[in-house]
Amino acid sequence: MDGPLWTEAHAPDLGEIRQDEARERLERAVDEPMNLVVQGPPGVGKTAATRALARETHADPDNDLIEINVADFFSRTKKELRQDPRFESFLAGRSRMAKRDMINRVLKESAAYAPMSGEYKTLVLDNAEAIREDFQQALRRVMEKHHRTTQFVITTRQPSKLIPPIRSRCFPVQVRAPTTDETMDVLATICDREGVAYDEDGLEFVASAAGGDLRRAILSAQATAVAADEVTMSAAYETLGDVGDDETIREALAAAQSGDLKDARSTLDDLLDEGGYGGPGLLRELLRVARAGSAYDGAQLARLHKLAGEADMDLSEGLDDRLHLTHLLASWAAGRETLAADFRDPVEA
Amino acid sequence: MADWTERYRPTSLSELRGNDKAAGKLQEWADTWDDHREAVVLHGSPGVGKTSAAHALANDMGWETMELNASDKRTGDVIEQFAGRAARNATLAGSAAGGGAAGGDTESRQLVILDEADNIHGNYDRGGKSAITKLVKESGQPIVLIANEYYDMSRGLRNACQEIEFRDVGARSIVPVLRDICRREEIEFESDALQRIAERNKGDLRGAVNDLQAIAEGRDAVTLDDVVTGDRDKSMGIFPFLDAVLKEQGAEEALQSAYSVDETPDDLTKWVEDNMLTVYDADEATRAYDFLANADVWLGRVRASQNYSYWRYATDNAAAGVAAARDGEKGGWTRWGRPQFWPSSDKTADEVVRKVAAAEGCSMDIARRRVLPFLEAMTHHCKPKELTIRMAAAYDMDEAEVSFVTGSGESTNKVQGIVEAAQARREEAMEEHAEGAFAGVPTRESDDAGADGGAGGDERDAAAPTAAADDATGSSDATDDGNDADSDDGQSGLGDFV
Repeated sequence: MDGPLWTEAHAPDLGEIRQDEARERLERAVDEPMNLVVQGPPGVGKTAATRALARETHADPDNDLIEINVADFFSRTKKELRQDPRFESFLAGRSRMAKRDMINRVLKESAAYAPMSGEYKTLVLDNAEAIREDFQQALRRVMEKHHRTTQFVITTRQPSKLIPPIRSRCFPVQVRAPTTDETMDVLATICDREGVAYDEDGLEFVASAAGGDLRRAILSAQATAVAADEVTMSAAYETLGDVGDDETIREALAAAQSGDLKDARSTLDDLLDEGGYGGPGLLRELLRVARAGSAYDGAQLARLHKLAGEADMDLSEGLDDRLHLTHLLASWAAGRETLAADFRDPVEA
Repeated sequence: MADWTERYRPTSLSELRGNDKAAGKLQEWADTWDDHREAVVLHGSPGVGKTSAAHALANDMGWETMELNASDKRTGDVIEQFAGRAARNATLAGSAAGGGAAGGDTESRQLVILDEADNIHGNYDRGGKSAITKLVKESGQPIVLIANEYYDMSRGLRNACQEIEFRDVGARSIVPVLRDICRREEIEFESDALQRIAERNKGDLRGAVNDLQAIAEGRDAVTLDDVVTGDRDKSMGIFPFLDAVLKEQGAEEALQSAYSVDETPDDLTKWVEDNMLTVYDADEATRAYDFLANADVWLGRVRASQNYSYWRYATDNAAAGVAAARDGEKGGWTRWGRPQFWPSSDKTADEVVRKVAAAEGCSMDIARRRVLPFLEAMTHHCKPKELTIRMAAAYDMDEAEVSFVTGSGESTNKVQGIVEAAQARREEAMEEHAEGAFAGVPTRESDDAGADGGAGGDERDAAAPTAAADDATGSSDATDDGNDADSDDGQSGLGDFV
C-alpha cells in the first residue's frame, strides 16, 4: 500500500543516494554484511538509506528489516510501551519489568529470530543517541552474541554519545546535510516524476527554508503541490505559512504582551496537551516563532531569550511545564530583566 | 484510656440506639435462620451501628463469632481456608456441647461476620468475590455481611442474601447516647455542647462518640465553647482555602490555612495555580508566578530526591508567596475551578503519530513535530479527496483518526465516505497481494529447486529461472534435469516441483 507522503513514495534505492561517499560505503556493506553506524543530522535520510540497503540485501525486506526507535522507547511510559503493537508480543504481562530490561528483551528476541530469507537480517536502532550508557553495555553483548544472524545498524545524530566498544564494532557511514543545490535537485526529480510544475525560485525557496532537512524540503514541496498544483515561490510562501502551530504560538505571545495571561496560559495548555509538545520543545518553538516575525524588536527578543534560559532551568527541575512557560511569558510581558523579581514586602507595597 | 466506642459498644440488640426497626429485623433473621439458612447483608453509612448490631446479636444468641476484615487479605484461597475453619470449629463446638446433633442445636453456632463486604478489591483480593459468594451460598453457618454501599456488592452476592438497611442515626438518638456516656464517665456537660457534637457528625454515631472523647479528654466538663474551639481544628475545605489565599488573607495567615487543608502540596499548588488568574491582575499574577515557579521547582526536588521535608518550601511558596503577591483584598464571590491533575493523553493522536512514525521510520516525536503538520495541511478538510483516502488506507485509519488529521467532523459523511473508500482499497490491495503471493510462490520454489538441482552443472543455474518464467521451455529444461536425475540421487525429487 503506497503511503500518502512523497518521502515514502520517492524513497531512494541504494543507487539513487546522491552522496557518493555514503552510497559507496553502503554498497560495500551489501557484499560484505557488517554492523553500521549511520550518522547525520535530522531529516537528511539516514533511515531512508538504511531501508534502501535492506531492500538491496534482503529478498524479504518486510520481515528481515526490523526497526526499533530508541527515542520512542525511552521517552514513553512503560504502559504505553506494553500496549504498542510493535512490542506487545514481547512485553505482554511483564508489568514489573524495568524499562531497560524491556528494551533488552525486545532486542534479544528480535535478534534471536532466524531471518525469513537469506542468511541474516538487519536490526536498526534508530535515534540511538537516546540510549543510556548502561544500556549500551548490554547492547554490546547482544551484538556479540547474535553477530552471525543479525546485522546491526545504528542511526544517530550524535555518534559521540555511543560508547567506544560499540563504535569500534561498527563501520561508520556519514550522511551529511544536503546543500541547497542538492536539495533542489532532489525536489526537481520528484516533481518531474509526479508531473508537478515548478520553477527554480520555488524550489530554491522550499530548499533553503528547509535548511538542510531533506524531509522538511520534500514535505514542504508536496504540501505546496497539493495546495496549488505547482511549486512556485508565491505558492510555497502561501502554503507553508499555514503549516504547523506558528499561528497559535504567535497568539500566545501576543496575548501575554497584551496582559491577558489567562488567554496565554490556555493557549499554552492546548499546545502542551493536544499539540503534544513537551515543555522544552515548546520553549524552543516559542523562541523561534518570536524571532521569525517582525512583531518584536531586538531588545525584546534579547530579553525573551535571557529569561528563557532561566525558565529552561526551572523546566528541567520542576514538574509543571505550563506553569513555567506561563511564568516566562508573564515575566517577559512585564518587561523584566530577570525571570523572578526581587522580593517585594507586601506591607510596604 | 480505652476507646469509648469500644467500651460502650452495646452488648445486646436491645441496647442499640437508633435503627430499632433494623434491629428487630435482624433478630427475626436470627430466630428463623434454621428455616431459611440464608446470609444477611447489613448496609448503611459508616458509624450507624452495623458491626455493633452483629456482635450484639451473637451475644444475645450465645453464638461465637468469627470475623474477616478488610485488613485481612481476602483472596479466594484465604476465604476458603476461613470457611473451612468455620465449619470445623462448628463441629468441635457441637461435640463439646455434647449435643452431637450434627450442628443442629443453636447453641453451637458460629456467627460469621464479613466486614466491608462491598470492598473486596478485584486485584489485591484476587478470586475473593466469587469465593465469598460461594461461602455465602454453601456455608452451614449464619453469615452477616456488612457493607457501606449495598450496590457496590456483586449482583450474585446480593441475590444470595437477605438485606437490612441501617439508616443514619438522627441527632435526637445520638444526644441520649452522649449524655449516657458522660454520666458513666462522670463528666459534666452542657446540653448544647452535646447537641452541637451530634449535629456536627450528621448521623454518624461512632463519629460523635469519638468527638466527645476527643473533646472531653483530660477535662471533667464539656462546654459549648470547648466544642466550638474543636470545630476550628477540623480540616479546611479547599474552596475556603482558595478564598483565603487568593482573596482575603495575608502571607502568614494563608500559610496557617495551608497547613489545615487536607491536600498534598503538589495538589495544593495545582489548585492555586489553576485559579489564581481568575482573580489576580497581570502585575499580581506575574509576581505570583515567581512563587508558583519556586513551589513547582521544590516539588520537582521532592520527586527527584524523595525527600519530603522539601514539601514545606512548596507550601510556603504556593500559599504565603501567592498571598503576598496580591495587592490588598479581593471581594465578591468566585466560582473556583477544579484543576486537571493528570495530563490528558489523546489516544487518537498517539495512534496516528505511531502509525506515521512506523511508516516514515522516524521517532514519534519527529512524526508529531515534523511530519504530521504537513500531513494535516495537505489533507485539510479532506481535500484533496484522493490523497486523504490514500492516507486513510495506508495508515489504516478509523473515523476519529481521519477527523483528527483533517479537522473535519468525525461523524460527517465526508469522513465516513473516506474511511469506507479506504477500507475498500485496503481489501482490494489485500486480494491483489494474495494473488501475487500465489503467483509468486511456485516461481520461487521452482527457482530454489532449480538452484538446488543446479549442483550438477553450471548451465542449469541459468536455465532454471527460465523454467519458472516460461512454461514451454521450462518443461523441456525440466525433462533434461529429470534425465540427469536418473544418474544423480540428489536430484530425484526435482520433477515434483515442476
